[in-house]
Amino acid sequence: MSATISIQQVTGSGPTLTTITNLRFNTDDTANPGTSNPMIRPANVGDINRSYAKTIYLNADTTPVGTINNVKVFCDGAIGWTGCTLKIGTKGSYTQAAGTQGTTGTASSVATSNIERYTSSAPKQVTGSISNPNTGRISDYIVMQVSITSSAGVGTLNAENLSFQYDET
Amino acid sequence: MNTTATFTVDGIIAEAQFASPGGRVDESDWLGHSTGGLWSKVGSPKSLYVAVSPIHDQDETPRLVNKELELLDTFMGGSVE
Repeated sequence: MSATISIQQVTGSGPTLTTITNLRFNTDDTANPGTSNPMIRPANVGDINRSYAKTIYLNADTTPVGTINNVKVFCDGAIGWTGCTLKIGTKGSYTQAAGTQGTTGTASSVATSNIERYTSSAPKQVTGSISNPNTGRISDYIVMQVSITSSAGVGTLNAENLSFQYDET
Repeated sequence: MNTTATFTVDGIIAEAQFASPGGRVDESDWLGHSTGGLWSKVGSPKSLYVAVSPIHDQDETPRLVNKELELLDTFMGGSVE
């Protein structure tokens, strides 16, 4: 029987773990923020605001029969958010997101690659594995952050699909 | 066995907010000037809130310099409230 897999969002200094099916970018360090602290479009051409960096990982809620490894993450190659860039990176340890709440996040030193370069045919490899009888975090921490320019549209961004792919024995 | 797990990402983007129309400017809002400035709203077709330095009459009532208002009005193509 296959292991039960979830995606955990990591927030706070604790940190706090939250099982998510949707990750909302905003300007605070919370999961499922609703409409609070939205990202802010900069007023001036050339300026960049950012979301807070958002951290997730792939988790094994139940143990696999054998091993889960070869974790990859990818999108469809086109994030359709005008004036915005979604960047991604991975790290073996967790760092709490920082910034000025309600205004902009601090530029992440981890999320530095445009996620659009990672597709099903060229996914981003993510370090990590888990074997029976263990449960818990499988992958490294995946950090994502949105950069917003003055040409961004105001309002709710269309939901974009991201996928994890992994091998399980 | 090769397996995938899909999730979605989204967000909300809002306009930068500068100050409430007609509100007074604190030093923390407007560095380089002392307390006492005014925010003024420039009207249609878009709204723009601008900080203007207070010019004090003898009765200490802050007012705008007419030339500033004319320039803002021309720039925005609207009226000054």
